[in-house]
Amino acid sequence: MGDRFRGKVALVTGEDHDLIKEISTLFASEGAAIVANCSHSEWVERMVSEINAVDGVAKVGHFDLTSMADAESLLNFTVDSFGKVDVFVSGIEIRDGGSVLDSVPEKWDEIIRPVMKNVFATTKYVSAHMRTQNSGQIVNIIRDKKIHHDISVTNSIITEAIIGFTRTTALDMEKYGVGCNAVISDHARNAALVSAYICSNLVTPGISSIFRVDEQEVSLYSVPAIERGIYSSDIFSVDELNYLVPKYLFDGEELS
Amino acid sequence: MKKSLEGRVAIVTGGGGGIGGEVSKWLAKEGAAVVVNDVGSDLSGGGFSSTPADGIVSEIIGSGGDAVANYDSVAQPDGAKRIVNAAMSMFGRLDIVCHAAGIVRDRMVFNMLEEEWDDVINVHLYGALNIVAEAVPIMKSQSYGRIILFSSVSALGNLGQCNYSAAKGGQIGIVQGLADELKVDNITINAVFPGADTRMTEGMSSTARAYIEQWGVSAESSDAQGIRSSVRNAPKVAYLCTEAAANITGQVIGVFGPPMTVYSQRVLMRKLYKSNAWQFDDLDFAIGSSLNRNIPESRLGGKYEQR
Repeated sequence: MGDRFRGKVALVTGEDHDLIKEISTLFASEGAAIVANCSHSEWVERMVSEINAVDGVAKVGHFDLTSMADAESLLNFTVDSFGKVDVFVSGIEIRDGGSVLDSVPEKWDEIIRPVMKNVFATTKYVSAHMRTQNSGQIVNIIRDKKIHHDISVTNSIITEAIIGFTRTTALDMEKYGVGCNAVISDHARNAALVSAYICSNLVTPGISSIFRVDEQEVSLYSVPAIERGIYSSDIFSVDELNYLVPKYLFDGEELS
Repeated sequence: MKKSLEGRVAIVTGGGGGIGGEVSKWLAKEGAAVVVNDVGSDLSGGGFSSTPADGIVSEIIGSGGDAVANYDSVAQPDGAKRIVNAAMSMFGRLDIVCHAAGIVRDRMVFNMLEEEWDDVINVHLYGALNIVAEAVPIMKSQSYGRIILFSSVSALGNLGQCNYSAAKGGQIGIVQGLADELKVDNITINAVFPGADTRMTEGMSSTARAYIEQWGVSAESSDAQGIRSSVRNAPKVAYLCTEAAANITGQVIGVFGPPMTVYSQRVLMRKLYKSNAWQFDDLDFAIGSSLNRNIPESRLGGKYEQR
Protein backbone atom coordinates (compact mmCIF):
# COMPACT_ATOMS: atom_id res chain seq x y z
CA MET A 1 0.00 0.00 0.00
CA GLY A 2 1.20 3.45 -0.84
CA ASP A 3 0.05 7.01 -1.25
CA ARG A 4 1.03 7.82 -4.78
CA PHE A 5 -2.57 8.34 -5.89
CA ARG A 6 -4.10 9.48 -2.60
CA GLY A 7 -6.96 11.86 -3.45
CA LYS A 8 -6.85 10.94 -7.14
CA VAL A 9 -9.57 9.39 -9.25
CA ALA A 10 -8.78 6.73 -11.85
CA LEU A 11 -11.13 5.56 -14.59
CA VAL A 12 -10.24 2.12 -15.95
CA THR A 13 -11.93 0.59 -18.99
CA GLY A 14 -11.54 -2.55 -21.03
CA GLU A 15 -12.57 -6.12 -21.60
CA ASP A 16 -9.36 -7.85 -20.62
CA HIS A 17 -10.05 -9.11 -17.10
CA ASP A 18 -6.43 -9.65 -16.04
CA LEU A 19 -5.46 -6.19 -17.17
CA ILE A 20 -8.46 -4.36 -15.65
CA LYS A 21 -7.89 -6.15 -12.38
CA GLU A 22 -4.18 -5.42 -12.20
CA ILE A 23 -4.70 -1.75 -13.01
CA SER A 24 -7.64 -1.24 -10.67
CA THR A 25 -6.00 -3.07 -7.79
CA LEU A 26 -2.69 -1.26 -8.19
CA PHE A 27 -4.19 2.23 -8.39
CA ALA A 28 -6.54 1.46 -5.48
CA SER A 29 -3.64 0.17 -3.39
CA GLU A 30 -1.89 3.49 -3.97
CA GLY A 31 -4.94 5.39 -2.71
CA ALA A 32 -6.91 6.22 -5.86
CA ALA A 33 -10.70 6.01 -6.08
CA ILE A 34 -11.56 3.73 -8.97
CA VAL A 35 -14.32 3.45 -11.53
CA ALA A 36 -13.92 0.22 -13.51
CA ASN A 37 -15.99 -0.24 -16.66
CA CYS A 38 -16.33 -3.66 -18.25
CA SER A 39 -19.19 -5.29 -20.11
CA HIS A 40 -18.88 -8.48 -18.07
CA SER A 41 -20.94 -7.19 -15.16
CA GLU A 42 -20.77 -10.15 -12.81
CA TRP A 43 -17.02 -10.31 -13.02
CA VAL A 44 -16.42 -6.58 -12.57
CA GLU A 45 -18.85 -6.42 -9.62
CA ARG A 46 -16.83 -9.13 -7.91
CA MET A 47 -13.53 -7.44 -8.62
CA VAL A 48 -14.77 -4.14 -7.27
CA SER A 49 -16.09 -5.70 -4.09
CA GLU A 50 -12.68 -7.31 -3.56
CA ILE A 51 -11.06 -3.90 -3.81
CA ASN A 52 -13.60 -2.37 -1.44
CA ALA A 53 -13.07 -5.25 1.01
CA VAL A 54 -9.41 -4.28 1.43
CA ASP A 55 -9.97 -0.64 2.22
CA GLY A 56 -10.20 0.62 -1.35
CA VAL A 57 -12.84 2.83 -2.91
CA ALA A 58 -14.17 1.51 -6.18
CA LYS A 59 -17.32 1.62 -8.27
CA VAL A 60 -18.55 -0.28 -11.28
CA GLY A 61 -19.49 1.23 -14.63
CA HIS A 62 -21.68 -0.74 -17.01
CA PHE A 63 -21.59 1.34 -20.11
CA ASP A 64 -21.30 0.31 -23.74
CA LEU A 65 -18.38 2.47 -24.79
CA THR A 66 -18.92 2.01 -28.49
CA SER A 67 -21.83 4.41 -27.96
CA MET A 68 -20.98 8.10 -27.68
CA ALA A 69 -23.90 8.62 -25.29
CA ASP A 70 -22.72 5.82 -23.02
CA ALA A 71 -19.14 7.11 -23.05
CA GLU A 72 -20.44 10.49 -21.92
CA SER A 73 -22.54 8.79 -19.25
CA LEU A 74 -19.49 6.95 -17.93
CA LEU A 75 -17.61 10.23 -17.59
CA ASN A 76 -20.60 11.80 -15.82
CA PHE A 77 -20.97 8.76 -13.55
CA THR A 78 -17.30 9.02 -12.56
CA VAL A 79 -17.45 12.74 -11.89
CA ASP A 80 -20.74 12.39 -9.99
CA SER A 81 -19.23 9.61 -7.90
CA PHE A 82 -15.82 11.09 -7.09
CA GLY A 83 -15.83 14.69 -8.30
CA LYS A 84 -13.19 14.44 -11.06
CA VAL A 85 -11.01 12.19 -13.22
CA ASP A 86 -7.23 12.39 -12.85
CA VAL A 87 -6.25 9.22 -14.64
CA PHE A 88 -7.82 7.37 -17.53
CA VAL A 89 -6.37 3.96 -18.40
CA SER A 90 -7.87 2.25 -21.39
CA GLY A 91 -7.12 -1.46 -21.74
CA ILE A 92 -7.40 -2.21 -25.42
CA GLU A 93 -7.80 -5.87 -26.17
CA ILE A 94 -7.50 -6.87 -29.79
CA ARG A 95 -9.18 -10.04 -30.92
CA ASP A 96 -7.22 -11.92 -33.50
CA GLY A 97 -9.15 -11.62 -36.71
CA GLY A 98 -6.65 -13.54 -38.77
CA SER A 99 -5.74 -11.92 -42.05
CA VAL A 100 -8.12 -9.24 -43.24
CA LEU A 101 -7.82 -10.81 -46.66
CA ASP A 102 -9.47 -14.02 -45.53
CA SER A 103 -12.41 -12.26 -43.96
CA VAL A 104 -15.24 -10.05 -45.07
CA PRO A 105 -16.00 -6.39 -44.29
CA GLU A 106 -18.59 -7.43 -41.70
CA LYS A 107 -15.79 -9.17 -39.81
CA TRP A 108 -13.60 -6.06 -39.80
CA ASP A 109 -16.60 -4.15 -38.50
CA GLU A 110 -16.84 -6.63 -35.69
CA ILE A 111 -13.18 -6.50 -34.71
CA ILE A 112 -11.71 -3.16 -35.73
CA ARG A 113 -14.58 -0.67 -35.59
CA PRO A 114 -15.73 -1.19 -31.96
CA VAL A 115 -12.19 -0.90 -30.59
CA MET A 116 -11.53 2.32 -32.46
CA LYS A 117 -14.90 3.84 -31.58
CA ASN A 118 -14.50 2.90 -27.92
CA VAL A 119 -11.12 4.60 -27.65
CA PHE A 120 -12.30 7.72 -29.45
CA ALA A 121 -15.59 8.02 -27.54
CA THR A 122 -14.12 7.62 -24.06
CA THR A 123 -11.07 9.78 -24.80
CA LYS A 124 -13.25 12.54 -26.19
CA TYR A 125 -15.34 12.94 -23.03
CA VAL A 126 -12.50 12.28 -20.60
CA SER A 127 -10.23 14.79 -22.33
CA ALA A 128 -13.02 17.40 -22.39
CA HIS A 129 -13.23 16.99 -18.63
CA MET A 130 -9.46 16.99 -18.06
CA ARG A 131 -9.27 20.14 -20.14
CA THR A 132 -11.51 21.94 -17.66
CA GLN A 133 -9.34 20.85 -14.73
CA ASN A 134 -6.06 21.55 -16.57
CA SER A 135 -4.52 18.26 -15.55
CA GLY A 136 -4.75 14.56 -16.18
CA GLN A 137 -3.02 11.51 -17.60
CA ILE A 138 -4.34 9.17 -20.26
CA VAL A 139 -2.72 5.79 -20.95
CA ASN A 140 -3.76 3.53 -23.80
CA ILE A 141 -2.61 -0.01 -23.11
CA ILE A 142 -2.54 -2.17 -26.21
CA ARG A 143 -2.43 -5.82 -25.33
CA ASP A 144 0.03 -8.12 -26.91
CA LYS A 145 1.54 -6.84 -30.06
CA LYS A 146 4.95 -8.10 -30.90
CA ILE A 147 6.32 -4.83 -32.05
CA HIS A 148 7.92 -6.00 -35.26
CA HIS A 149 6.85 -9.43 -36.41
CA ASP A 150 4.42 -12.30 -36.16
CA ILE A 151 1.33 -10.25 -35.64
CA SER A 152 -2.08 -10.58 -37.12
CA VAL A 153 -3.10 -7.88 -39.56
CA THR A 154 -6.03 -6.66 -37.46
CA ASN A 155 -3.70 -6.38 -34.50
CA SER A 156 -1.20 -4.41 -36.57
CA ILE A 157 -3.89 -2.06 -37.89
CA ILE A 158 -5.41 -1.33 -34.51
CA THR A 159 -2.04 -0.90 -32.83
CA GLU A 160 -0.76 1.63 -35.36
CA ALA A 161 -4.12 3.43 -35.41
CA ILE A 162 -4.20 3.73 -31.62
CA ILE A 163 -0.60 4.97 -31.55
CA GLY A 164 -1.48 7.67 -34.12
CA PHE A 165 -4.53 8.59 -32.07
CA THR A 166 -2.51 8.63 -28.84
CA ARG A 167 0.10 10.96 -30.29
CA THR A 168 -2.44 13.42 -31.64
CA THR A 169 -4.39 13.38 -28.39
CA ALA A 170 -1.14 14.25 -26.60
CA LEU A 171 -0.68 17.24 -28.90
CA ASP A 172 -4.31 18.34 -28.60
CA MET A 173 -4.10 18.20 -24.80
CA GLU A 174 -0.60 19.65 -24.37
CA LYS A 175 -1.66 23.14 -23.43
CA TYR A 176 -4.10 21.81 -20.85
CA GLY A 177 -1.38 19.94 -18.95
CA VAL A 178 -2.74 16.54 -19.92
CA GLY A 179 -0.42 13.72 -21.00
CA CYS A 180 -1.29 10.79 -23.26
CA ASN A 181 0.94 7.73 -23.68
CA ALA A 182 0.79 4.24 -25.12
CA VAL A 183 1.92 0.99 -23.54
CA ILE A 184 2.15 -2.15 -25.64
CA SER A 185 2.26 -5.20 -23.44
CA ASP A 186 1.63 -8.90 -23.09
CA HIS A 187 2.07 -8.82 -19.31
CA ALA A 188 -0.90 -7.45 -17.36
CA ARG A 189 0.82 -6.75 -14.07
CA ASN A 190 3.80 -4.93 -15.53
CA ALA A 191 1.56 -3.01 -17.93
CA ALA A 192 -0.38 -1.78 -14.90
CA LEU A 193 2.83 -0.91 -13.10
CA VAL A 194 4.29 1.10 -15.97
CA SER A 195 0.94 2.86 -16.50
CA ALA A 196 0.90 3.84 -12.85
CA TYR A 197 4.46 5.04 -13.14
CA ILE A 198 3.57 7.18 -16.15
CA CYS A 199 0.57 8.67 -14.34
CA SER A 200 2.57 9.53 -11.25
CA ASN A 201 5.77 10.79 -12.84
CA LEU A 202 6.01 11.22 -16.51
CA VAL A 203 4.12 14.44 -16.94
CA THR A 204 5.48 15.65 -20.24
CA PRO A 205 2.47 17.01 -22.05
CA GLY A 206 2.78 17.01 -25.81
CA ILE A 207 5.23 14.14 -25.95
CA SER A 208 3.68 10.74 -26.00
CA SER A 209 6.05 7.88 -25.44
CA ILE A 210 5.54 4.35 -26.67
CA PHE A 211 6.48 1.74 -24.11
CA ARG A 212 6.79 -1.96 -24.66
CA VAL A 213 6.41 -3.94 -21.46
CA ASP A 214 7.01 -7.65 -20.98
CA GLU A 215 7.54 -9.85 -17.97
CA GLN A 216 11.15 -8.85 -17.49
CA GLU A 217 11.68 -5.94 -19.82
CA VAL A 218 10.54 -2.36 -20.01
CA SER A 219 11.46 -0.69 -23.32
CA LEU A 220 10.99 2.66 -24.92
CA TYR A 221 10.43 2.99 -28.67
CA SER A 222 11.05 5.91 -30.98
CA VAL A 223 8.65 7.24 -33.54
CA PRO A 224 9.48 6.20 -37.11
CA ALA A 225 12.05 8.68 -38.35
CA ILE A 226 13.65 9.43 -41.68
CA GLU A 227 16.55 7.03 -42.05
CA ARG A 228 17.91 7.93 -45.43
CA GLY A 229 17.04 10.07 -48.39
CA ILE A 230 17.97 10.90 -51.95
CA TYR A 231 17.51 14.42 -53.20
CA SER A 232 17.13 16.19 -56.50
CA SER A 233 16.27 19.80 -57.17
CA ASP A 234 14.76 18.67 -60.46
CA ILE A 235 11.78 16.38 -60.61
CA PHE A 236 13.03 12.78 -60.56
CA SER A 237 12.40 10.51 -63.51
CA VAL A 238 11.47 6.88 -62.96
CA ASP A 239 14.68 5.86 -64.75
CA GLU A 240 16.76 7.89 -62.31
CA LEU A 241 14.93 6.35 -59.37
CA ASN A 242 15.43 2.92 -60.83
CA TYR A 243 19.15 3.53 -60.52
CA LEU A 244 19.23 5.59 -57.30
CA VAL A 245 16.73 3.89 -55.00
CA PRO A 246 18.33 0.43 -54.69
CA LYS A 247 21.84 1.87 -54.64
CA TYR A 248 21.41 4.72 -52.18
CA LEU A 249 18.01 4.75 -50.52
CA PHE A 250 18.25 1.15 -49.42
CA ASP A 251 22.03 0.96 -49.38
CA GLY A 252 22.21 -2.03 -51.65
CA GLU A 253 20.73 -4.25 -48.99
CA GLU A 254 18.06 -6.67 -49.97
CA LEU A 255 14.96 -5.59 -48.15
CA SER A 256 12.93 -7.94 -46.11
CA MET B 1 12.43 1.83 -75.43
CA LYS B 2 9.77 0.05 -73.41
CA LYS B 3 8.05 2.23 -70.86
CA SER B 4 8.39 1.11 -67.24
CA LEU B 5 4.66 0.40 -66.80
CA GLU B 6 3.83 -0.76 -70.33
CA GLY B 7 0.95 -3.24 -70.27
CA ARG B 8 0.12 -2.57 -66.61
CA VAL B 9 -3.33 -1.58 -65.35
CA ALA B 10 -3.67 0.80 -62.41
CA ILE B 11 -6.40 2.13 -60.17
CA VAL B 12 -5.87 5.49 -58.47
CA THR B 13 -8.51 6.31 -55.86
CA GLY B 14 -8.78 10.05 -55.40
CA GLY B 15 -7.12 10.15 -58.80
CA GLY B 16 -9.03 13.15 -60.06
CA GLY B 17 -7.11 15.93 -58.37
CA GLY B 18 -4.21 17.07 -56.24
CA ILE B 19 -1.53 14.47 -55.67
CA GLY B 20 -3.79 11.63 -56.87
CA GLY B 21 -4.28 13.46 -60.17
CA GLU B 22 -0.53 13.80 -60.73
CA VAL B 23 -0.04 10.13 -59.86
CA SER B 24 -2.74 9.11 -62.38
CA LYS B 25 -1.04 11.12 -65.09
CA TRP B 26 2.46 9.87 -64.29
CA LEU B 27 1.40 6.21 -64.24
CA ALA B 28 -0.21 6.78 -67.65
CA LYS B 29 2.92 8.49 -68.91
CA GLU B 30 4.92 5.40 -67.94
CA GLY B 31 2.55 3.30 -70.04
CA ALA B 32 -0.10 2.07 -67.58
CA ALA B 33 -3.81 2.10 -68.38
CA VAL B 34 -5.41 3.97 -65.48
CA VAL B 35 -8.80 3.82 -63.80
CA VAL B 36 -9.11 7.35 -62.45
CA ASN B 37 -11.45 6.99 -59.49
CA ASP B 38 -12.80 10.12 -57.82
CA VAL B 39 -16.16 10.90 -56.25
CA GLY B 40 -15.42 14.58 -56.78
CA SER B 41 -16.48 15.56 -53.28
CA ASP B 42 -15.43 18.68 -51.45
CA LEU B 43 -12.58 18.42 -48.96
CA SER B 44 -14.83 17.39 -46.08
CA GLY B 45 -16.40 14.60 -48.11
CA GLY B 46 -19.64 16.30 -49.14
CA GLY B 47 -21.04 16.54 -52.67
CA PHE B 48 -20.39 14.65 -55.86
CA SER B 49 -18.94 15.61 -59.20
CA SER B 50 -17.72 13.68 -62.20
CA THR B 51 -15.65 16.67 -63.32
CA PRO B 52 -12.34 15.90 -61.51
CA ALA B 53 -12.04 12.29 -62.73
CA ASP B 54 -13.20 13.23 -66.25
CA GLY B 55 -10.70 16.07 -66.39
CA ILE B 56 -7.71 13.87 -65.60
CA VAL B 57 -8.93 11.18 -68.01
CA SER B 58 -9.12 13.72 -70.86
CA GLU B 59 -5.64 14.99 -70.04
CA ILE B 60 -4.27 11.43 -70.15
CA ILE B 61 -6.05 10.56 -73.39
CA GLY B 62 -5.00 13.91 -74.87
CA SER B 63 -1.35 12.97 -74.28
CA GLY B 64 -1.79 9.61 -75.96
CA GLY B 65 -2.39 7.56 -72.80
CA ASP B 66 -5.16 5.19 -71.83
CA ALA B 67 -7.58 5.93 -68.97
CA VAL B 68 -11.16 5.57 -67.85
CA ALA B 69 -13.09 7.48 -65.19
CA ASN B 70 -14.93 5.95 -62.25
CA TYR B 71 -16.95 7.81 -59.60
CA ASP B 72 -17.64 5.15 -56.95
CA SER B 73 -16.80 5.65 -53.28
CA VAL B 74 -13.99 3.44 -52.00
CA ALA B 75 -15.39 3.92 -48.49
CA GLN B 76 -18.13 1.41 -49.32
CA PRO B 77 -17.30 -2.29 -49.96
CA ASP B 78 -19.63 -2.26 -52.98
CA GLY B 79 -17.98 0.88 -54.28
CA ALA B 80 -14.54 -0.73 -54.08
CA LYS B 81 -15.89 -3.76 -55.90
CA ARG B 82 -17.19 -1.57 -58.73
CA ILE B 83 -13.87 0.27 -59.00
CA VAL B 84 -12.01 -3.03 -59.36
CA ASN B 85 -14.64 -4.31 -61.80
CA ALA B 86 -14.10 -1.20 -63.91
CA ALA B 87 -10.41 -2.10 -64.27
CA MET B 88 -11.18 -5.71 -65.12
CA SER B 89 -13.94 -4.99 -67.61
CA MET B 90 -12.12 -2.17 -69.38
CA PHE B 91 -8.55 -3.45 -69.30
CA GLY B 92 -8.75 -7.14 -68.33
CA ARG B 93 -6.29 -7.14 -65.43
CA LEU B 94 -5.16 -5.18 -62.37
CA ASP B 95 -1.52 -4.62 -61.44
CA ILE B 96 -1.43 -1.42 -59.41
CA VAL B 97 -3.62 0.13 -56.73
CA CYS B 98 -2.84 3.58 -55.38
CA HIS B 99 -5.24 4.56 -52.58
CA ALA B 100 -4.98 8.34 -52.51
CA ALA B 101 -8.62 9.20 -51.79
CA GLY B 102 -9.01 11.23 -48.67
CA ILE B 103 -10.92 13.85 -46.78
CA VAL B 104 -10.13 15.84 -43.66
CA ARG B 105 -12.49 16.74 -40.83
CA ASP B 106 -10.13 18.41 -38.35
CA ARG B 107 -11.13 19.18 -34.79
CA MET B 108 -9.57 18.88 -31.35
CA VAL B 109 -10.23 15.47 -29.77
CA PHE B 110 -12.42 16.92 -27.01
CA ASN B 111 -14.78 18.57 -29.51
CA MET B 112 -14.73 16.08 -32.38
CA LEU B 113 -18.14 14.82 -33.49
CA GLU B 114 -18.90 11.16 -34.03
CA GLU B 115 -19.61 11.70 -37.74
CA GLU B 116 -16.27 13.51 -38.18
CA TRP B 117 -14.55 10.49 -36.68
CA ASP B 118 -16.55 7.97 -38.71
CA ASP B 119 -16.26 9.75 -42.06
CA VAL B 120 -12.48 10.02 -41.93
CA ILE B 121 -11.97 6.45 -40.67
CA ASN B 122 -14.34 5.18 -43.38
CA VAL B 123 -12.59 6.77 -46.35
CA HIS B 124 -8.97 6.35 -45.31
CA LEU B 125 -8.88 3.16 -43.27
CA TYR B 126 -11.90 1.19 -44.44
CA GLY B 127 -11.39 2.52 -47.95
CA ALA B 128 -7.90 1.00 -47.90
CA LEU B 129 -9.18 -2.31 -46.57
CA ASN B 130 -12.03 -2.39 -49.10
CA ILE B 131 -9.88 -1.79 -52.15
CA VAL B 132 -7.03 -4.04 -50.97
CA ALA B 133 -9.44 -6.90 -50.24
CA GLU B 134 -10.97 -6.58 -53.72
CA ALA B 135 -7.65 -6.22 -55.54
CA VAL B 136 -5.53 -8.86 -53.83
CA PRO B 137 -7.33 -11.99 -55.10
CA ILE B 138 -6.86 -10.73 -58.66
CA MET B 139 -3.22 -9.83 -58.04
CA LYS B 140 -2.63 -13.26 -56.50
CA SER B 141 -4.09 -14.95 -59.55
CA GLN B 142 -1.67 -12.93 -61.70
CA SER B 143 1.25 -13.44 -59.28
CA TYR B 144 1.93 -9.74 -59.55
CA GLY B 145 0.79 -6.61 -57.79
CA ARG B 146 1.83 -3.22 -56.46
CA ILE B 147 -0.22 -1.53 -53.73
CA ILE B 148 0.52 1.96 -52.42
CA LEU B 149 -1.45 3.44 -49.53
CA PHE B 150 -1.22 7.22 -49.23
CA SER B 151 -0.63 7.58 -45.51
CA SER B 152 0.61 10.79 -43.94
CA VAL B 153 3.15 12.21 -41.52
CA SER B 154 0.02 12.89 -39.46
CA ALA B 155 0.19 9.20 -38.53
CA LEU B 156 2.98 10.31 -36.19
CA GLY B 157 0.66 12.78 -34.51
CA ASN B 158 -0.78 16.08 -35.70
CA LEU B 159 -2.72 18.69 -33.79
CA GLY B 160 -6.48 18.57 -34.32
CA GLN B 161 -6.41 15.40 -36.41
CA CYS B 162 -7.02 12.47 -34.07
CA ASN B 163 -9.33 10.87 -36.66
CA TYR B 164 -6.86 11.36 -39.50
CA SER B 165 -3.86 10.22 -37.41
CA ALA B 166 -5.68 7.06 -36.39
CA ALA B 167 -6.71 6.30 -39.98
CA LYS B 168 -3.27 7.04 -41.41
CA GLY B 169 -1.58 5.04 -38.65
CA GLY B 170 -3.98 2.20 -39.41
CA GLN B 171 -2.85 2.29 -43.04
CA ILE B 172 0.74 1.74 -41.91
CA GLY B 173 -0.59 -1.18 -39.85
CA ILE B 174 -2.16 -2.66 -43.00
CA VAL B 175 1.10 -2.33 -44.90
CA GLN B 176 3.25 -3.83 -42.16
CA GLY B 177 0.73 -6.54 -41.39
CA LEU B 178 0.23 -7.70 -44.98
CA ALA B 179 3.68 -7.33 -46.53
CA ASP B 180 4.95 -10.81 -45.62
CA GLU B 181 1.71 -12.51 -46.54
CA LEU B 182 1.66 -10.89 -50.00
CA LYS B 183 5.36 -11.30 -50.79
CA VAL B 184 5.02 -14.95 -51.82
CA ASP B 185 2.73 -13.87 -54.66
CA ASN B 186 5.07 -11.14 -55.88
CA ILE B 187 2.78 -8.44 -54.53
CA THR B 188 4.34 -5.47 -52.76
CA ILE B 189 2.50 -3.11 -50.43
CA ASN B 190 3.95 0.15 -49.18
CA ALA B 191 2.80 3.31 -47.47
CA VAL B 192 3.91 6.73 -48.67
CA PHE B 193 3.99 10.05 -46.88
CA PRO B 194 3.03 12.45 -49.66
CA GLY B 195 2.77 16.19 -49.52
CA ALA B 196 2.18 19.27 -51.63
CA ASP B 197 0.43 22.58 -51.55
CA THR B 198 -3.06 21.29 -52.16
CA ARG B 199 -6.48 22.14 -50.80
CA MET B 200 -5.78 19.57 -48.09
CA THR B 201 -2.79 21.38 -46.62
CA GLU B 202 -4.17 24.89 -46.55
CA GLY B 203 -4.85 24.43 -42.85
CA MET B 204 -1.67 22.43 -42.19
CA SER B 205 -0.52 22.55 -38.59
CA SER B 206 2.87 23.51 -37.25
CA THR B 207 3.62 19.89 -36.42
CA ALA B 208 3.30 18.78 -40.01
CA ARG B 209 5.37 21.75 -41.12
CA ALA B 210 8.12 20.80 -38.70
CA TYR B 211 8.33 17.28 -40.10
CA ILE B 212 8.45 18.59 -43.61
CA GLU B 213 11.11 21.13 -42.79
CA GLN B 214 13.39 18.35 -41.54
CA TRP B 215 14.23 17.83 -45.19
CA GLY B 216 14.76 21.40 -46.13
CA VAL B 217 11.35 21.92 -47.66
CA SER B 218 10.17 25.14 -46.16
CA ALA B 219 6.42 25.29 -45.97
CA GLU B 220 6.49 29.04 -45.48
CA SER B 221 8.64 30.49 -48.22
CA SER B 222 7.54 31.08 -51.79
CA ASP B 223 7.56 28.11 -54.09
CA ALA B 224 9.21 29.53 -57.17
CA GLN B 225 11.00 26.24 -57.96
CA GLY B 226 7.84 24.26 -57.49
CA ILE B 227 9.40 22.13 -54.78
CA ARG B 228 6.05 21.80 -53.04
CA SER B 229 4.07 20.94 -56.14
CA SER B 230 1.95 17.79 -56.31
CA VAL B 231 3.89 16.47 -59.28
CA ARG B 232 7.01 15.94 -57.10
CA ASN B 233 5.29 12.94 -55.50
CA ALA B 234 4.30 11.22 -58.71
CA PRO B 235 7.50 9.70 -60.18
CA LYS B 236 8.47 8.25 -56.79
CA VAL B 237 5.10 6.57 -56.48
CA ALA B 238 5.35 5.42 -60.11
CA TYR B 239 8.78 3.91 -59.39
CA LEU B 240 7.37 1.92 -56.46
CA CYS B 241 4.78 0.55 -58.92
CA THR B 242 7.37 -0.80 -61.35
CA GLU B 243 8.59 -4.36 -61.64
CA ALA B 244 12.05 -3.16 -60.62
CA ALA B 245 10.81 -2.21 -57.14
CA ALA B 246 10.03 -5.85 -56.35
CA ASN B 247 12.13 -5.88 -53.18
CA ILE B 248 10.54 -2.84 -51.60
CA THR B 249 7.60 -3.87 -49.45
CA GLY B 250 6.22 -3.15 -46.00
CA GLN B 251 7.98 0.23 -46.05
CA VAL B 252 7.03 3.80 -45.27
CA ILE B 253 8.44 6.08 -47.98
CA GLY B 254 8.46 9.87 -47.94
CA VAL B 255 7.63 11.24 -51.40
CA PHE B 256 7.06 14.92 -50.69
CA GLY B 257 9.17 17.64 -52.28
CA PRO B 258 12.65 17.21 -53.76
CA PRO B 259 13.77 14.21 -51.66
CA MET B 260 12.63 10.62 -51.57
CA THR B 261 13.13 9.21 -48.09
CA VAL B 262 12.74 5.96 -46.23
CA TYR B 263 11.39 5.88 -42.69
CA SER B 264 12.65 3.56 -39.99
CA GLN B 265 10.53 1.00 -38.27
CA ARG B 266 9.67 1.90 -34.73
CA VAL B 267 13.11 1.70 -33.18
CA LEU B 268 13.94 0.33 -29.77
CA MET B 269 15.59 3.23 -27.97
CA ARG B 270 16.47 1.60 -24.69
CA LYS B 271 15.54 -1.43 -22.68
CA LEU B 272 15.56 -2.18 -18.96
CA TYR B 273 15.74 -5.73 -17.73
CA LYS B 274 14.98 -7.32 -14.39
CA SER B 275 15.02 -11.06 -13.77
CA ASN B 276 12.58 -10.99 -10.85
CA ALA B 277 9.31 -9.09 -10.54
CA TRP B 278 9.31 -5.37 -11.23
CA GLN B 279 8.23 -3.13 -8.37
CA PHE B 280 7.10 0.48 -8.31
CA ASP B 281 10.34 1.63 -6.74
CA ASP B 282 12.36 -0.06 -9.48
CA LEU B 283 10.53 2.01 -12.05
CA ASP B 284 10.96 5.24 -10.13
CA PHE B 285 14.66 4.62 -10.17
CA ALA B 286 15.14 2.94 -13.52
CA ILE B 287 12.85 4.92 -15.79
CA GLY B 288 13.72 8.22 -14.23
CA SER B 289 17.47 7.70 -14.26
CA SER B 290 18.00 5.74 -17.42
CA LEU B 291 15.11 4.74 -19.67
CA ASN B 292 14.46 8.08 -21.27
CA ARG B 293 17.55 9.96 -20.18
CA ASN B 294 19.48 11.78 -22.88
CA ILE B 295 17.23 10.57 -25.66
CA PRO B 296 16.64 13.56 -27.92
CA GLU B 297 13.04 14.71 -27.82
CA SER B 298 12.94 14.45 -31.59
CA ARG B 299 13.27 10.69 -31.36
CA LEU B 300 10.30 10.58 -29.05
CA GLY B 301 8.39 12.83 -31.38
CA GLY B 302 8.27 15.90 -29.20
CA LYS B 303 10.38 18.41 -31.02
CA TYR B 304 12.25 18.19 -34.26
CA GLU B 305 15.93 18.42 -35.01
CA GLN B 306 17.16 20.13 -38.09
CA ARG B 307 19.03 17.58 -40.10
